[in-house]
Amino acid sequence: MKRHIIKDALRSMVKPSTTLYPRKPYIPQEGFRGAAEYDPEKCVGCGACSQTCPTGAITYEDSDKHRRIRLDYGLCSFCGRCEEICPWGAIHLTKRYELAVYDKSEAKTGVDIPLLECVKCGRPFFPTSQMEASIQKVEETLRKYGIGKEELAKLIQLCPTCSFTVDEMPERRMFMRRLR
Amino acid sequence: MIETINMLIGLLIYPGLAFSLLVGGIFYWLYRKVRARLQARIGPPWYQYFMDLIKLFSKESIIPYSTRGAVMVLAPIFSLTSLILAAAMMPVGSRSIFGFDEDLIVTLYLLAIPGLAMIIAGNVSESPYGAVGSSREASIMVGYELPYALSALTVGFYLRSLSISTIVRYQIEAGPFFMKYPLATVAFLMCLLPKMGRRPFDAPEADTEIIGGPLTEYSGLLLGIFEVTNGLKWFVIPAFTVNLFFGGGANPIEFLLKCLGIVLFLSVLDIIHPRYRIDQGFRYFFKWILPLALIDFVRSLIWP
Amino acid sequence: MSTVLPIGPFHPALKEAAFIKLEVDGEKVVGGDFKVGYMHRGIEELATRKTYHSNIFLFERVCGICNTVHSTCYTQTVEALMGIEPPERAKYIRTIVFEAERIQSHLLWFGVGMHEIGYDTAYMYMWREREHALEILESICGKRVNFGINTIGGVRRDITPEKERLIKTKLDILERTIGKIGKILVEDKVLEARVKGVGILPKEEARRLCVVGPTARGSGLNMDTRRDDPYAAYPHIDFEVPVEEGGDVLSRTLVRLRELAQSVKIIRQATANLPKGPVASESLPLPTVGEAFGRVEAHRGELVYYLRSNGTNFPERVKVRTPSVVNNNSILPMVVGETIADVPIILASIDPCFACTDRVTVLDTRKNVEKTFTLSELRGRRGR
Repeated sequence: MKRHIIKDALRSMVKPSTTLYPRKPYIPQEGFRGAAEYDPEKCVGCGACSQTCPTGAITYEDSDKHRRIRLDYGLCSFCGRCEEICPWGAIHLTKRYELAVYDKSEAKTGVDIPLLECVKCGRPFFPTSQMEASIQKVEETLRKYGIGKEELAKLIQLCPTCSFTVDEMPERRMFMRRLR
Repeated sequence: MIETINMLIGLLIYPGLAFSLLVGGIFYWLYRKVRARLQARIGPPWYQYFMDLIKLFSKESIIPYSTRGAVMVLAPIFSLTSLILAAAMMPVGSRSIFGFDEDLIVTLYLLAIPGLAMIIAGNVSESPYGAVGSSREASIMVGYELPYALSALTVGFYLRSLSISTIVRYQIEAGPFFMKYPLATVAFLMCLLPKMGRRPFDAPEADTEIIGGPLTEYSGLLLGIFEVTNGLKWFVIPAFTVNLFFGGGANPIEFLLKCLGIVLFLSVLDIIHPRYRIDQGFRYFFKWILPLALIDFVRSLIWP
Repeated sequence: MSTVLPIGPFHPALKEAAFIKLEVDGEKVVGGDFKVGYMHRGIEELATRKTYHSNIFLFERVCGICNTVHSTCYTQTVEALMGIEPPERAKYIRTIVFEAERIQSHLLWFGVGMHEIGYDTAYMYMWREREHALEILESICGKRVNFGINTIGGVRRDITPEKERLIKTKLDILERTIGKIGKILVEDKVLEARVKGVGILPKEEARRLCVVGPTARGSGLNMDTRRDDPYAAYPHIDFEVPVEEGGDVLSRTLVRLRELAQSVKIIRQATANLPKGPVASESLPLPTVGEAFGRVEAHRGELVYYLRSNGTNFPERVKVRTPSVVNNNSILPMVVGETIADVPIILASIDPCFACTDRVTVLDTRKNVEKTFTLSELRGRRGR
């Protein structure tokens, strides 16, 4: 009469389909998009992740000689755009999905990048690691023109306000002429 | 003095409130566990029902402003009292503490009162869901009370006696009654389903249609008393069935095992069926169950 | 003498908040009204303040069950506005994710429908089988809901051969399940008594109310956007469109059951014929000034998007017409004349999604009061 339900019922009695979570944890598959984590070795503080985030969960501010990048899990939509767009591969989405906290300020992650100070006016204006990474990128081209990277490093250690003055302009123009 | 203490023990401890509530709670847990396992889940632990009672008794009971508060408080008290009395009179094993010569009729009346209390509760709480629920409970009671009473009286008429203890003692010597009156047994077992509010006849408490039915506006202590009633029903009604049709049991252990069998049978029937609409359920009882009960009733009158 | 029975904002029969006010006489329904507005979130207005790319993730969250439908329709409309064509492999991957979500949505509907008539056992079994469809989606997209698989010009992830093997295993399991569901539905007498001949929507009434999707196909109207106006990979795939003539709850159930079998067939063909190539096109021009209009066949009917751009990176107007907006009009004609016990299953049989339905909330700042419009008030304003 009701053969299929009764057969199914007896088969289900032998093997339940639910587990005693959270005593038995559940590990999702590879490629799962959980909470994002920064890699402080690779991050240079360029801010590309904060520009592309659809919800505005990633913000940064410069304070106390550091660039502080913060990702708020409460606003994050776990879409993975930050991981796709980062040119340095510094942010990855892990498999962690249990993000409940008692205190709202704990639901954040971030990284602090030290800022370089201007040798003339002392104002911190640019992340140190981004400076080093940029110099490393152009090192090979500079060698073709016979310029060492220390010369370039000395030139760009001035902040934009100090470097666009009448005193500094001749030296910079000479440098640019060597690149012809 | 000794009689008063005896009466209090019998009413409140064994086989009255405490024993029936404990055994009824365990049977209710078994129903939920079997239901969960057959649905591929794991199910609640054994103390779930008692924890629910503790939680309900610790909450506030809200009585709506425009109702008659006195009647709203009396309805659960009626149903609890009647079930405690019926449990006290039920023979467990083959001895009964408070049994007397006409207790079959008295038990039939007492076991009809919880349904009436639900009808009152649904009407007095001024919510449309309660009104619909109580009207459904009234229709289904008309449907099942008649075959239920006829099947119970079949056994009484055969023995020309209205005492449950006599019925049990006869069955221990001569064999259980379900062999002699199988149709009445089937009719009686089917009537148990709406009495305990189980599918396919649980339309009065359908939670997807009329949120809580008659009990929608109840909360806290009063709802806790209705839940105690529910737990007691899971012991008293299978006990009644076993005493009338399945031999009764020579000692309490055998008796409880037979009650367990009835509980498992009702659980399996509940799990594999959807819910009938109220008019379809009503028609089912008049079309299929009442003729079975009538046939056996007439048989017991004519061939003693 | 009729009382008012509210299937109110909080009710176990509804998945989301809506207000259906029924006037009942005993157990029979004699009239009613329908109020929406409890789930309005201002998504169309928010979309004008975010870029085209960010809006993909915003429109996925309009509905909880049909995510990739909204995201695919929006992406196709934006691609039409920009004049770019995604590669073939991307179109096939979009079709696979689309149909896998259709399987998941229909199995969810079966569970909910069984629960409304009290058949909890069948509800648990159908949701257990739904996990297989969700595992297909988790392996391709990385999440079980809100997939984010689309980008303008293609898709974001690829299907490796190992994932193809997993998809084939799960599809075999799902085919066996669909056969079992069919047998469970047919063998039960109580179920048949509850769904047959209940909530009849005749063909002429369905055409007059302009219903779409399985609601229309259950009443004999033969309409399906996948066949009439093909998009993505559907021109190259061979499938049938099930139509039933009964017009009652049982017909709509059978339409959904046959659509499940067709979805499995579509995914098998798409995985077998997956073309090689890139998964996203590299060019992303700014959209030209103009309008675009796109439609897909969502799980509940035909979904329509309208987009207008003014040349910048922010859209000027996005309008979404979900299928539930038109299907919900057919609730009241179907319910009047039936009993209260049949109202939940009739309501569930058109598969309403009230989150998609919400239209307007009126704020009166002088009196500081916020109210919603009932259906009869809206009709009165339009003079109909």
